[in-house]
Amino acid sequence: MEHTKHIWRAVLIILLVPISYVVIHHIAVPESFGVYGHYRADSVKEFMDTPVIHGDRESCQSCHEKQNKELLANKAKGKHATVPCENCHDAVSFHVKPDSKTGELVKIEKMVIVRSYRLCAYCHEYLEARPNAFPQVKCKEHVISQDAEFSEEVCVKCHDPHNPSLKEEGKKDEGKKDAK
Amino acid sequence: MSPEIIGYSFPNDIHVTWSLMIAMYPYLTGLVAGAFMVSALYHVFGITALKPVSRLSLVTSFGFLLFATVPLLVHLGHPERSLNIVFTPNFSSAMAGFGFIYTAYFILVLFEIWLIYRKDIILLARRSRGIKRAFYACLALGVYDISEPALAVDHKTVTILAAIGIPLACFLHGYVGFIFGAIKANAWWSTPLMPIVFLFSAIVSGIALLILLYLVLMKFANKPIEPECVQALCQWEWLFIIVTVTLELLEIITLAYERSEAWMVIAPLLSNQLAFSFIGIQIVFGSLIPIILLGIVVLLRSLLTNPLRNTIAFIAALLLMMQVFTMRWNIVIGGQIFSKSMRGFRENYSPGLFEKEGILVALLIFLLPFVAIAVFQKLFPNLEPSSDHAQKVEAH
Ligand code: HEC
Ligand code: HEC
Ligand code: HEC
Ligand code: HEC
Repeated sequence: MEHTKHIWRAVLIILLVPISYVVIHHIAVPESFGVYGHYRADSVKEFMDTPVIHGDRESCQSCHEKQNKELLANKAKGKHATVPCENCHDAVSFHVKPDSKTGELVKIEKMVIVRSYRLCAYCHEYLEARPNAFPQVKCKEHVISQDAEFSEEVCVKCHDPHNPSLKEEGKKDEGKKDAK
Repeated sequence: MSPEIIGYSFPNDIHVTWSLMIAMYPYLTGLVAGAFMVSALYHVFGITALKPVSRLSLVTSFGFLLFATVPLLVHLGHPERSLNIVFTPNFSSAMAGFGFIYTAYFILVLFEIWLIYRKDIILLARRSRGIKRAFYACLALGVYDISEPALAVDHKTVTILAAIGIPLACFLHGYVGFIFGAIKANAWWSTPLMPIVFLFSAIVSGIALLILLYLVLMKFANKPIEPECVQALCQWEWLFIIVTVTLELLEIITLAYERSEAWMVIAPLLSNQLAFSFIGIQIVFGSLIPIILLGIVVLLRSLLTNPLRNTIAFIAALLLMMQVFTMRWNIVIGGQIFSKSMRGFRENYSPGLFEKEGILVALLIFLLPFVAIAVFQKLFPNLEPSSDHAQKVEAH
């Protein structure tokens, strides 16, 4: 094979690619990768060690049962009874923390309160793809249809976020009065 | 529907998650595969009329290959994580093979370009001094053999590489189509025709790009434009656009004729949301008109003067570049603006000018390959093949 020296040199260089692949693979892929599946097995433990941020459905109750008895009772009988508090407010761990000595929960930070219509739109804005039975409105049109002016925090002027239904008698006009 | 809705919610039809960047990505890889096919027509199938673009086509393919993944990296963020898919590929995902196909194709095109330019590199090494000489000598791998037999070996290897390259290029691009075609839940994507449609339109865009590049480069360099070459490019382009449009329509006609539940959402999609970009641009402006224009070039060959042919070819190629882009757009975006439960539609998506995945970024990314081609041309000045190489092909 005369006159093929350059081809062989090029082939040698190309061979460096798979070789370096094997070497890098050996060095860079973590040892526990693939033990349980297509991921790094050690990451399971790392995730277990990360602090819990969200609470469960009951995690607001313990304190607010005393402070906001009415609110909770109101919510429990309304249409938002099944909507968890954290969906509209924030994760419990940003609001309270176990005391380092007693282990009792204490408030550390103000809880987020969102009054923007965007919060409601997230669940209630009209979408073709949403099941028909779910209450949905085109936010801007809806507000105008109720003879009110649209503004950022308009929804909660008529609807109580914890018990939003206005379909019952009497409630309707009461709400409208506030919005004007 | 308000774009102001924030966060994720079910059913998640609010977000067009695959943005303009994802339309760019098959467009760029398509140009890679398409340009390569032109070089293969010359190197493997011996279409000698394409000689003037044989080098240009490979360099173009390589230039676009260099930046084909950039839209994906911009879209996903964290470019450093892209290596994970290469070192720990999960083969139950179609994406996993990409790193390997891409790398294999990259090496192949680089090797092929190197062999084709080897003689130029050696001559450049002999002619220059100092660092430049060292650079070219390095590139020549220290072998200065440009004897007849050595060049014959080069030529044979190039033919073999080009032949291997055809299935690889098909794979590289067919796989992009497959990623869409294999998404069962999306009526607009899920069809085994998808990889083939992508492939053929890739070839259309590749040839169109070469027509444009060839005409423009020759004009600027003040060199004669080979009428044979333009004619041949137009003929191939005509063939491929006809096949492409046939396939694109075939898919829709099948859907329409079957009247399956998918059609209930696809029909309004095509006639409302995508009316302009699908019927207007992809079919009428981008396909029908170029087919007529190229038909004139092919069928009325003897009646055309060279400047007239070049003008027609230029216009047709521009329209076809646009056609293929809108085809990508209609697939990628079209597939996301209707609800997967086929209940209806979300508002149409339009990218912002300045956002991260917006129009300006897309244009910049599209320019990068041309910069690469210009740099290449600066380093290795002969984008047109030297004549002795051509003789060998003719003798072959
Ligand atoms: C649908 C969303 C939503 C849910 C669910 C929700 N809240 Fe609220 N919450 C709000 C909004 C909006 C306000 C502000 C109301 C206003 O200012 O008119 C608010 C205000 C409050 C306030 C302050 C009340 C006041 O009068 O100062 C408390 C306390 C509160 N929420 C507790 C809770 C608790 C506890 C839960 C769970 C049982 C809960 N919220 C669930 C939206 C919600
Ligand atoms: C450690 C007990 C505790 C828990 C658990 C707790 N809170 Fe509170 N929360 C408080 C206290 C104390 C206040 C202050 C009350 C006041 O100033 O009247 C408060 C105030 C609030 C306020 C009014 C805004 C503010 O920060 O002053 C909201 C809204 C609220 N909590 C929501 C929640 C929600 C939602 C949860 C569950 C995710 C929750 N809280 C869990 C103790 C708690
Ligand atoms: C996390 C999702 C979520 C958010 C955020 C949310 N809601 Fe709701 N809402 C629901 C659910 C779930 C129901 C109950 C639907 C049902 O009964 O089928 C409901 C019911 C309602 C209803 C009752 C409709 C009826 O049939 O009477 C009204 C009104 C309403 N929400 C208004 C609001 C307003 C105003 C806000 C913003 C402060 C809001 N919602 C925020 C989930 C949400
Ligand atoms: C001017 C008062 C007013 C304002 C402001 C208002 N609503 Fe209402 N909303 C009503 C009334 C009254 C009803 C009951 C309508 C009925 O029974 O036909 C209602 C009904 C609804 C329903 C239930 C619709 C259904 O089909 O069951 C939803 C959801 C709702 N509102 C959401 C909102 C959201 C979100 C906003 C903020 C963008 C908002 N509303 C602002 C007065 C108001």
